[in-house]
Amino acid sequence: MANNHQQLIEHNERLIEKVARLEREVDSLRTQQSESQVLLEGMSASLQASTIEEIYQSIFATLNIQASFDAAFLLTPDIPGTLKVAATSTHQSIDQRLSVDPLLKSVLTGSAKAIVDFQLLQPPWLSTLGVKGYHSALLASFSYKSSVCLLIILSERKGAYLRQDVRSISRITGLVEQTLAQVENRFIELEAQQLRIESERVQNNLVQQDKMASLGQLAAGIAHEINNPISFIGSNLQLMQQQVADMFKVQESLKEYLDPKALSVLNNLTEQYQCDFLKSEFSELFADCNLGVERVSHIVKSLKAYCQNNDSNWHLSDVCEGISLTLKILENQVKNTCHIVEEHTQIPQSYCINNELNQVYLNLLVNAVQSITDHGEIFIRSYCQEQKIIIEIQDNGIGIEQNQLDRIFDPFYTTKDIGKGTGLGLSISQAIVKKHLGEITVSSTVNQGTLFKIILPVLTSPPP
Amino acid sequence: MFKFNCYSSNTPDTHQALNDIHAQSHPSLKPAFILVYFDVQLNAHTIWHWLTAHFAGVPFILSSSCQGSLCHNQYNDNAFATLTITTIEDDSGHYHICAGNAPDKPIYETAQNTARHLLNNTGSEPPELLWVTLTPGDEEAAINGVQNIIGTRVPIVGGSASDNDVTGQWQIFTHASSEPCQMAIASLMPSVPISFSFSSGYAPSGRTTEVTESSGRQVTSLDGIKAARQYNHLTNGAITEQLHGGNILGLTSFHPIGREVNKDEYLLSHPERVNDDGTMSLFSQLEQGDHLHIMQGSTSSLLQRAHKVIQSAQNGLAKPDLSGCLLIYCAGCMLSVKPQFEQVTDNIKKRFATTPVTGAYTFGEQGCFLDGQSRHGNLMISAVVFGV
Repeated sequence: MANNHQQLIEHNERLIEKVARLEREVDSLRTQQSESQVLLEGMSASLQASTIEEIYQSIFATLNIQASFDAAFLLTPDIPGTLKVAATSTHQSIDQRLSVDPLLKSVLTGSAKAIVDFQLLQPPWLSTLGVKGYHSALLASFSYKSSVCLLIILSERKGAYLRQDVRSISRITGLVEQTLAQVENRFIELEAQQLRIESERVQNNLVQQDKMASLGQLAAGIAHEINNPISFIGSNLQLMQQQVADMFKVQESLKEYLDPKALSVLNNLTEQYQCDFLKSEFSELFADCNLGVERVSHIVKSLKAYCQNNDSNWHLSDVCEGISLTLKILENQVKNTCHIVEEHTQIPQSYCINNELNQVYLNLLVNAVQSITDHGEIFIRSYCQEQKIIIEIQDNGIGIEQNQLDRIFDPFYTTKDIGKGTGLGLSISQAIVKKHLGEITVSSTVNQGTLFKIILPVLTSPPP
Repeated sequence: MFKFNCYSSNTPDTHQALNDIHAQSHPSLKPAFILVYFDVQLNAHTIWHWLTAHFAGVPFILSSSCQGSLCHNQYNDNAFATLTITTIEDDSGHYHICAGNAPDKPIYETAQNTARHLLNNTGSEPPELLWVTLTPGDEEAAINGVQNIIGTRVPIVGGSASDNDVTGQWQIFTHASSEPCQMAIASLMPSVPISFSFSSGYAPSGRTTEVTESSGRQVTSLDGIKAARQYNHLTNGAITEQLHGGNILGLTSFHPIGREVNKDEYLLSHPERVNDDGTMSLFSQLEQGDHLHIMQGSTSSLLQRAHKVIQSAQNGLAKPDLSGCLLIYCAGCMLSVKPQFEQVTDNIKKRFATTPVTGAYTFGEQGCFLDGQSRHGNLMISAVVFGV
């Protein structure tokens, strides 16, 4: 009876032992599965991140599941002998610089390490990190972009991390290295793609600038070539007008000296050739021709002024002088689509580079014209306010979305169709205005219009 | 390169015992850590001087073990060696030992200071395991003191020093001093994986009780009834003859009190004495409200247990190959089954023929259950195995 009882106890023991062993194995497998799952999810999250900060936070999140912490820091190499805080779970102490002490050095050059209690070590960098009340830590290094970075996680508990956590974080940092390498490749690919796009834009812009320069030279040449013939056409027209008038006077004078028969012949001829009508018609034709010549002269003069003004020196002049010139250039584009309203008040003269400001006006006015899809209005105002010259160019076109307003001055940013804009106009304009120590602002409401404001100081001497 | 070796002698003559050890060990032996168990028949100071002369600068713990110690290696098996010396050679491992000795201070504080000292030696890095050798009395306070400094996650394994007849002749030394100390704590950071197990050779009987009043290691009442009387009732009269007072260690060895600290894992307390007022003293603390199981054991279960605990520890390793094993076996259990104790070494020999195993018989066992918590218990078996 006693033997049976003992056998039962031993059998029971064996079963319990077996269950315990199986549970231990299941626990171990679960732990491994959980660790793999967490690492995979972390890796996946990192790969989907669009910024390095997002990647760091994703690494922190993964770490926190594997080795629970109260604060985590990621440090990158800085000047020799120091590390800089690149990311933290607490979003504090960013960019703080830490001196590499023997403890950090041993991790950077060796393997991961756990610290039971900082109270015994008092590393000087703890205060640099601005953390208090932390006892234990886990430190590990990993490679990123050919440099060795450091991961520090802290816990308020003493002895929160064991050697098994050291092994665990070593596995994690191994994966972090792989993930970062993949992310880096993706970033490089994106960067290369961006560079290709930018390169194409620069190329287009150079072609465009080349075209513009050629056109400028061509226009200047044509203007020069037109100027001479139009001058003698003008003078000849005036001479011809005078001579025709003289001829009609001769005709009238002749009538007094002719016999009736000759007079009758003259009258018949005058009637036959509608000379009276021609007399009045000549007057109108000459007036039209003179007007045409005058207009051609004016355009040529404007073209010459716009294209041949290569003077990039600072001059004391009216900064708004170029607006009317620019409008002349744009006259053809403007006349069928919009009405220009100009309101100018007296403004003081200021040092400026006229042809550069002309470029600004041209860019803003072209944008304004292109924003108007149907008949619209463009208001151009200039006035002086608090010792500043303000030039406003306002349209009632389609407007710009709020989320794009911040980007319109970025180089290569454009909403225009491919080939219609280089995305450089506004950035160049901003650069020119800044060169004049001014600023350019924009406000816009979609479907209501856009207001660009050029604010220039009154410069009594060229800027240094 | 990690190498675990153990050497033993059976002679009660200290010099002869040391000569035996010397004859067994290789002349080129350069250990990083030494653990020595001796029977109090031997002269501890002679052993201490021999160790410091032969292994200058090597940290060691020298502790007494009840009526000898166990030493198994591929050449011989000794269940009651008068002297057992275990050496660990490990070029890539790190081992530190600190002693605590401040009889005028609370044991908690001494343990704190010892742990702090140890952490200073490790550069505040956590050890893989803490091997503790404590003085019987207030081991719970000692463990709490250590954990207050080092945290609760580092496994603590070891045993309390013992003598041959519970007359207080136990002794603990370290390499640092030829004077005995109250505790020795070793931090083990071996270059090989380790695993451990903490268990007893007892099963719950199905009878349970609750502590209704207690103070430290003294239980006043169980289920509202005087502790001795209720315990006697629950064990079907195991201590009937001592109900009015007296030592009950031998009578209660097969009926210890257990607390289920983890699923199917029981931490045992060994009732030691019935006091004149009907209260009971134990070798470990119980708290008011503790739910207790009356455990049951047998000679057979105790004889079968040691190798199973080693196997259980082995199961915790990724690879089953072992370099060696440190075993802590309750002296109370050992005394209960001493006539048949050779079976324990036989069982170990069968399962771990080529694995060196060192065992101490202790007056209190410390170990770590599967829940990761380290505790002090009685009538327990602890094993630490070193992989390859």
